[in-house]
Amino acid sequence: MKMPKELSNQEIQFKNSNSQYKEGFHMPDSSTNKFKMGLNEDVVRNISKLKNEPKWMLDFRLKSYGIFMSMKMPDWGADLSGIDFGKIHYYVKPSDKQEVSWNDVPDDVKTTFDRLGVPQAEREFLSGVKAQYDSEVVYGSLIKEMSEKGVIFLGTDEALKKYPEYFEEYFGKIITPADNKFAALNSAVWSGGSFIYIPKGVSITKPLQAYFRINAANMGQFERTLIIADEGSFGHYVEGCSAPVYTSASLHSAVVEIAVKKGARFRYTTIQNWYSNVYNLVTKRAYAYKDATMEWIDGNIGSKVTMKYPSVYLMEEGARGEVLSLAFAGEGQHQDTGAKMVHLAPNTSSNIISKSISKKSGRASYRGLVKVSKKATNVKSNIVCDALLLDPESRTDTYPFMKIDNKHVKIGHEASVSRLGAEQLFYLMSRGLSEEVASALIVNGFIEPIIKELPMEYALELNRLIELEMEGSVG
Amino acid sequence: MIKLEIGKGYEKEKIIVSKNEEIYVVGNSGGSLDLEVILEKEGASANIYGIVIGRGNDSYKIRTTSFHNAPNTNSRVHLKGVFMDSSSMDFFGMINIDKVAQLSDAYLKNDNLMIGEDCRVNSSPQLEIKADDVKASHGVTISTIDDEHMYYLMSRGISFSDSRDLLIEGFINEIKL
Repeated sequence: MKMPKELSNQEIQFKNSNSQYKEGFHMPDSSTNKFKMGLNEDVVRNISKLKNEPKWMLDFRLKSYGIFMSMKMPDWGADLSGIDFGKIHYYVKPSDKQEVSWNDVPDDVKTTFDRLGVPQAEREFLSGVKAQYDSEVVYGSLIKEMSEKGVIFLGTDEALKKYPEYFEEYFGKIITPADNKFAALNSAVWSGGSFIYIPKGVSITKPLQAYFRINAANMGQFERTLIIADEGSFGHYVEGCSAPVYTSASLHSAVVEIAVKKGARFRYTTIQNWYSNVYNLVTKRAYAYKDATMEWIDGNIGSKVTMKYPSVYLMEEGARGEVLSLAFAGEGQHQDTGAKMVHLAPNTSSNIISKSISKKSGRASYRGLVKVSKKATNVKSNIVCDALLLDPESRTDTYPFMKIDNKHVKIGHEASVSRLGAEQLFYLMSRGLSEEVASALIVNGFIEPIIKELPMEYALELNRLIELEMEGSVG
Repeated sequence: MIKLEIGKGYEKEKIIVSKNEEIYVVGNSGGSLDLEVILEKEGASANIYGIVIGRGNDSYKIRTTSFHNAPNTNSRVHLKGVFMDSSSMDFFGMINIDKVAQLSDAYLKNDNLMIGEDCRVNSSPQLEIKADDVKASHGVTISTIDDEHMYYLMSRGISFSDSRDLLIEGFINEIKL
C-alpha cells in the first residue's frame, strides 16, 4: 500500500494535522441514499424494504430492534458513554449496485480503494476481494479457479437472495440477536458484509479479502458476515478496515458467524486500523465441529474504543480453537480485546496468545474466557498474555476468566507485564542504534509470534503501522 | 505473621502493610474470604500463602486483592487448592498497581488439583497496572493427577490410594505452613 505521489490540498492539510494516519483522507459524500440520523422502527423497515428482503428477514430485524431497545449498555469493559445512538446515520448507500470490474466503480470510491492499495493487492496475492464503502459492498471479485470449484464469495445481501438455504441454517443462530446489545443492533440494521461458502474438500490457497471503509461522517457501519467451511475444506479470509479523520464519532458494529465443519480448517485475519474516532464493537464467533480447526488472528491498531473477543465454540470431539490477538493502544485509545474458548465436547483443545502494547494515555485490556463444560473431558487449553508498557502514562489490564467443570483437563494461564527493558535498549544502542530504532526493534520482536502468522504483505504493513505508532514515542 | 482460617469468621479482611507481612490462609471445609492487602509504605512487602481443601459439597469463594499504593512494594500470592468429590471454588485474584507505585514487583499464582469427578473451579487472576516500571505477572494451572506420575509410583509397588495421597501431599507441600 503506497502513498500516491500527488496530494490534494485536503490531504496535505490532513498530513500536517496527523502525519501518522495515512488512511485519514475522505472523499466528498456522494451517496445515492443516506438515511437521516437516528434509529426507529421505520429505519429498520426501510432498510429491509430497500433491499427487497424476504419477510422472515424483516421479522428478524424487527425482533432484533426490540431486543436492542430493551437491553442495557454493558456495565463492564470500555467507556461507551460517547456513543449517541440518535446521532448516527444507520444506512448510507454509496452507489446503486455492486460492480465486478474496478473500472465501473464510481470514481470517488475507486480512488479511495486505489489509495488503500486494494486493487493492487488483488492482482498480486488474493483469490478474491470484497470492498465495502459505508453500508454497501461496491465491488466484488473471485478468481475463476475458485468459482469453478464451487466456492461462493458474495456480499451478504446478494447471497441472501441467491442462497437462502444457508441463511436459514446458520444466520442469527451462532450469534443470536439477544447475545449482546450490539449484536442486537447489528441484527436490526445490518447491511453488507461477506458471505463465503467453501465446498467439501476444497482448499483456498490464496486468501480472500474484504476491505471495510467508512467514508461518511457520523456513519454507523453494520456489516454482517457469514462463513461456512464445509467438511475437509480450508480457507483464509483477511479483513482490513479504515476510516477518514473526522471529529465526530462513528460506530462500527459487525457480527461475524462462522461454521467450520468436520475436518475443516478456517483462518480469519483482521487488521483493524480505524481512525481514532471510531467505536469498534464487534461480535465474532465460530462453531468448530468434529476435528475442525478455527483460527482467529486479530490485530487491533486503530479506533477510539474496541471491544472484541473472537470466540470459538468447540462443539464436537477433536475440535481445536486458536486466537492470536495483538492490540496497540495509543494516545486516548482503549483496546478491550481478548478471546473466548468454550469447550463443549471431549478431546478438544484451545490456545490463546495475546500481546498488547500501551503508549501515552493508551489502555490495553485483555479480557478472556475459557469454559470447560461437564461433558468435555481431556481438554487442553493454554493462555499466554504479555503486555508491554511504553511510558508512565500508559495502562494495561488483564481480566481472564476460567470456568472449569470437568476434572480431566490441563489448563494453563500466564500473564506478564513489562516495559522496554533498559538492558535491551542499552545493548542495542551500544551497537550504534538510536533509541527510537532500538525501541521499535524491541517492539517488533515482542509481537513477532503474531506477525509471523500473517501473509507476508500484511506482516510488512503491520510492522510499518507499528513503526509509525512508535515514532516519537521515546521519552 | 497472620493466619486466617476460612469459614472461621474472617469473611472480610483488610490488612494494611507498612513493612513486611506474611499471611497464611487455610481452608478445610469451605467458606468465603475477601482479603485486601494494602501495601502502603515505600518498600513494603507481603507474602500470602493459601491452601484450601474441598471435600463433599464444600464450596469456597475466595477473593484477594493486592493494592500497590507506594513505590518499590512487593507482593506474592500463592494459592493451592485440592478438590475432591463435588467440592468447588470461585477464586478472584487482583493485582492493582497504582501510578505512584513504580519499581513494584507483584506475582500471583493459583494451582488447582482436581480429584473429584464432580469438582469445579472458576479462577480469575486479574491485573490492573497503571505504572510502567514494574514487574507484574500471574499464572493459573488447573489439572488432575498426572497418569504418568501415578504409573511411576505404582510400578514401584505403591498402592493406588497411597500413590494418590503421596502426589497430593507433594502438591500441597510446596507451601510450607
